[in-house]
Amino acid sequence: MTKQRSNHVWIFVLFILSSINLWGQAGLDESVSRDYEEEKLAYILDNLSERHQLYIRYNESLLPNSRYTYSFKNVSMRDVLRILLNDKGLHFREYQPDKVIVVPAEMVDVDSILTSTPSMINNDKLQVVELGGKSQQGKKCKIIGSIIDARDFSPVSSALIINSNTGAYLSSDQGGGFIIEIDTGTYLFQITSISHEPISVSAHIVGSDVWEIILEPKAYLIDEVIISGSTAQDKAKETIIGIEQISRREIKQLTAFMGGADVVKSILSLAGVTTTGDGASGFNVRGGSIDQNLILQDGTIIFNPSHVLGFFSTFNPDIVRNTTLAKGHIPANYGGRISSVLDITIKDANAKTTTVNGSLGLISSKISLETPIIENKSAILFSGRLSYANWILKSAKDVDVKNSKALFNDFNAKYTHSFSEKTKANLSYFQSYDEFSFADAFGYSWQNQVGQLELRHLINDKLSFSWMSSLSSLKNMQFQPEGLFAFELSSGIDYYQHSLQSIFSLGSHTLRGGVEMIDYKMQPERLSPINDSNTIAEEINKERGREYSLFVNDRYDLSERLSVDFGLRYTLYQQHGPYLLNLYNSEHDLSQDEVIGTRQYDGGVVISYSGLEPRVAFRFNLFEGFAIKASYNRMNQYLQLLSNTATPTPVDIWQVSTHYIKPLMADNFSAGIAHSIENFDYNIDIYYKKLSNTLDHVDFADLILNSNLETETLAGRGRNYGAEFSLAKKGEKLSGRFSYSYSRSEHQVYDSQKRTINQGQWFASNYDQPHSVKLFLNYVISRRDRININFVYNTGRPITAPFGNYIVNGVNIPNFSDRNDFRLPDYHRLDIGYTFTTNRRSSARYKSEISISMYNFYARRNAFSIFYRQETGSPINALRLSVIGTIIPSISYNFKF
Amino acid sequence: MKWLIIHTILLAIVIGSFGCLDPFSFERTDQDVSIVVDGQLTTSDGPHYVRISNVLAFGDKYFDPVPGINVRLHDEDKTYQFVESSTGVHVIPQGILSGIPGKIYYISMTLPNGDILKSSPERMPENHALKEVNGKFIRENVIAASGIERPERIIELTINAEFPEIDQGAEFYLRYSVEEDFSYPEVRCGPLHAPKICYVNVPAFTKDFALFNSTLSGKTTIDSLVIHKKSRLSAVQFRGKHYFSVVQQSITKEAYEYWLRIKEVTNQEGTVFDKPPASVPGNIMNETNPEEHILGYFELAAIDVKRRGFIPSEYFAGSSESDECSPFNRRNWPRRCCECLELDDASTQRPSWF
Repeated sequence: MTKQRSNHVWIFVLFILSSINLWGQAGLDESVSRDYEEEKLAYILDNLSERHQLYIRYNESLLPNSRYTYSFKNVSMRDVLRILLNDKGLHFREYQPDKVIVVPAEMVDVDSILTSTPSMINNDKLQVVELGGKSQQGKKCKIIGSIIDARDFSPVSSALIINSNTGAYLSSDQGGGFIIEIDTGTYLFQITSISHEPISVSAHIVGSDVWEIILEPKAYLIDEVIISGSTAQDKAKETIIGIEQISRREIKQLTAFMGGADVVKSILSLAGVTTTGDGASGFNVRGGSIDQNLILQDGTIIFNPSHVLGFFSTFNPDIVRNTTLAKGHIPANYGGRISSVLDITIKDANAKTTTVNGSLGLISSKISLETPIIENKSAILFSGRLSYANWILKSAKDVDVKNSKALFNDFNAKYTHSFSEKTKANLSYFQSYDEFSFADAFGYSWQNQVGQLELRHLINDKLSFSWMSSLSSLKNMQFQPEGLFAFELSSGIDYYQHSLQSIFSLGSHTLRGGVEMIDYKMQPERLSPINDSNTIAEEINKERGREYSLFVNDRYDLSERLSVDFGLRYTLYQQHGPYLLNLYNSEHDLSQDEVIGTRQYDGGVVISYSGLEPRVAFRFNLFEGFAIKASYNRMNQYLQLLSNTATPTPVDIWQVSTHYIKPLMADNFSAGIAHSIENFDYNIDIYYKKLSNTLDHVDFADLILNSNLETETLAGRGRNYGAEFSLAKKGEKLSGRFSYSYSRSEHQVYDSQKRTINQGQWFASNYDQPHSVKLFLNYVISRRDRININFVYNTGRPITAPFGNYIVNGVNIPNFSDRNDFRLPDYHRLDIGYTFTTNRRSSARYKSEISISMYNFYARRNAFSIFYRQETGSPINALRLSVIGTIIPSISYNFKF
Repeated sequence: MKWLIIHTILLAIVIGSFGCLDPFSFERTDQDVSIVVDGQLTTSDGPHYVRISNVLAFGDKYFDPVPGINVRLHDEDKTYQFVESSTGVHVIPQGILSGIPGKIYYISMTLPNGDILKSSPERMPENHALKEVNGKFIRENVIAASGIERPERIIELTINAEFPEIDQGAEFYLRYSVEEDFSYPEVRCGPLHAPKICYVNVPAFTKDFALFNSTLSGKTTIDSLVIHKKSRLSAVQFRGKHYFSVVQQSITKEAYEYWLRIKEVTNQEGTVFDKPPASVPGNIMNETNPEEHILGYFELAAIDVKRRGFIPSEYFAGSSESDECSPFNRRNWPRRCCECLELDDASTQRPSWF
């Protein structure tokens, strides 16, 4: 079966047509001999339709009320219709061999639309649909639509539905749904989606109806390999600046460490997104720290999305439906973090058929299974991933590394039940676990667990709502199993989330509103001796905080060219007891020596913070495919990650706002343009972010088992600013993306003469990397194989380096510069990947491919850190540690059935 | 970490076979020159030293003294004058003064430009007895100078101590350092040659100092705590008796915090878990110009010393080496067999306790 025919089979079978009768091809060529005297045109058309096996659809409101007399003798049906319609300002259009539609003459000619719109694939893909009852007179029609994926029947969100006749457009929501209010008539719609093949539909709308659209995914296992991603045209039509979506195809095409496709690593291909180096957890957006990114999986917060110190993320790409990163404008329905939102949705299980996906790799393997429970009603999805990297450690020369251990695993389960066409529920569970130990010297482990229940209901064609509740925990552990002071240290967070949201359509307004509540209960930090060690058991209770949010957001299309997205979010944060508050002599000198007393809170509210967060974005289409956008956000953050290491570690401490640790606040301004020229799309964005109450640590901060962390932290202010340029090329053979960004991130701390950093001057934050260049290319060699190349360059991150040394009591001590006064050498890396499809028939049930990759192709020894060591009799030396100092080859076998 | 660190912990990244460690050099930049004050007053009868120098360029080893500074020691009753025995080195000679536990001391320094530097007044800590030092030869994997790891014969020193005062909630802080001294006897090289014995002091590799904080210990005893490991053993050092002197210094809490930070900046391994380094503030302030940062520390310490001596037979019993001055090896005798002063830092002055 050819690809085109297979598409048609999928698409046409579900289109709503009231009649399933198939008429012969000879309908329009059939000879007509009939007389009509003083009959209305509607009667004549119905009569012709009955007698000559031709299905004629029309809107009665278009037909004149007059009566007519005609006599036809051996005239072809085609000519009969021309005679009947042309002098009345009407045309007819054949949309199937035996079906025609009557259309007004003043409507844009469908054929001219086909030739003037380059985004159309070809005329053969034009589909036709009828919506509404037999006919309606002059009423506004309401079309309630849904867009679903042809392969797994999951909803396709954020697809664009463009009315080519009027230029109006809208996008499908999270559930793939949309609502159109439109006059009766015939319209040409273009439906496009980042991860699916676009289609064009000629829709003859005669009344309100339900419209289901099926889109074919741009699967990696089929012939055409086109890098998807928001085109500038798509971006030009979207209001929101700084929203990026990554398709599953793009995730799989980017060569990742050890060959594994990775969701979080894929967003590193975007301009403005960086990390502090190989082996660093999390990611940094426009100079922000990793805790300033809100990471959501199906709406639930994930605190630690990293495996193995950041080489892999906890998200299994095989079950990810959408990955969206908001780094410019952040709509009001998101809050709690000031830099970005990474919203990952897991697909619903396939309720029609059972599918299995898997991959076997050198250090990890994964498998996912989806199967219906009740066909077309309920289904369940399982996915799991397991690592077995210890064989690599066992092959190391270093004896201690040989005796070390590193493992990770993650598991997802999601049950989906459709109560009706309007009501659906999801029950899901997610767990990830990491453990790393170095010989019998020390070790770390961390674990995420999330349980979630979600309900969506469409009340009517204007109003829908969704409710979500989740219960989650993050547990960290550090341990030293041997020695005189063997110990275990545990910490973590238990958190609960509840949210209720509603979407309401009102004319050109799309309103979204809702309430959210998050309860953070920090687990006690607990130190325990192991065996009979000298360690004294110790435990400190941690804080508890609650965050309430109320938001409303309106997307308003003022005109075809101008669209505004504005919202307001109100947040209220409360720290709850029990809590022992230290009282200091001065709030500008929070040190243990300055404690003058304490105040005990047994329960209730210790302190509250609140604030209004306006969010505004606008888009102005200067001309087709060229848009100017701008936005402003205010964001508050009541939970921050405290780290006193060079880069954040997976076991760092999360800290809620308290009396002395104030909420982080940011005012974020951004502006940009999006433009497309033939196959090239480019974007230029600029931004400025002003930060208040930034949190830095004092020198040699002691954050472990410290119930008064305000004594180890310093509040200040920050500024992040920069510009990003990105260029994308689409093509069947060669496609790719290039980006350059200039980005600065600076802090200033001057609380008092004693509590200051770098004498109160502005200094580079840990994430200040001024220049970043990225190039990602994908080349289709043949129908079976493709090659992809990634190149990344970043300015080295700031470090504190020694500029001298001195001796005290026989110890040679390096003397260090001001904080972050030096930089590591610049980072650059080239990765190459090759994929060979073993079974390229898209209709084959079993599909497989082999991926070979070379990470760090020219074995660049990128510095992760510089540290200092002194051997006996030698001067003190600086040493550069490269985490990945050689080529890392990998091979994996991916399969699906 | 907040609690005690009494031995260094070697860290390595999990993917040890992929990572690389290379020497790195910074471009030298002009930085402000800072003064370093390195001094100590102990409960011994001296001599007590204060060394004043300039910070060196990174990687340099020499001593860059600052001349012409007047240094005085103050307690609650008296003032003692330091004598500049050599440029930048100030001493209170032996027999003049012993630090008294419980008494407050500080030093003051007058710079040639008139600036006054002072240390923070601190109270001399009480002494805590070190019970015993044990040492033995073991085999352990060591990274050789070539970079290759191989099993090697090393000496491991451990200490035992009892601190019953911990049960009474006593708060004290200890720092351990190790010094070595060995003797090298000459052999008769001729009828007129009178063999002598030389004594050599090996400076401690003090990067590996250990710290103890009584408030973090759940027990009153320390059993077999590893204090020092000496690798790259050489038969030259074990021809005569070889002593390891473990010096237990009872220091103030402020000094303990200072050495804790020194340990953090000198024992990095470059992993994600290293704390970002910073200049370590000491306890010396410039009263005249408070914005100037003075590096170093003037430390008060109550000391107790225990020694473990090794005799030649202990070394040669488990070694493939032989005595380089053996009569069976006369033709290959190095010069030092006949003139032991050829050894670096050798002296014929025998330590009183040897």
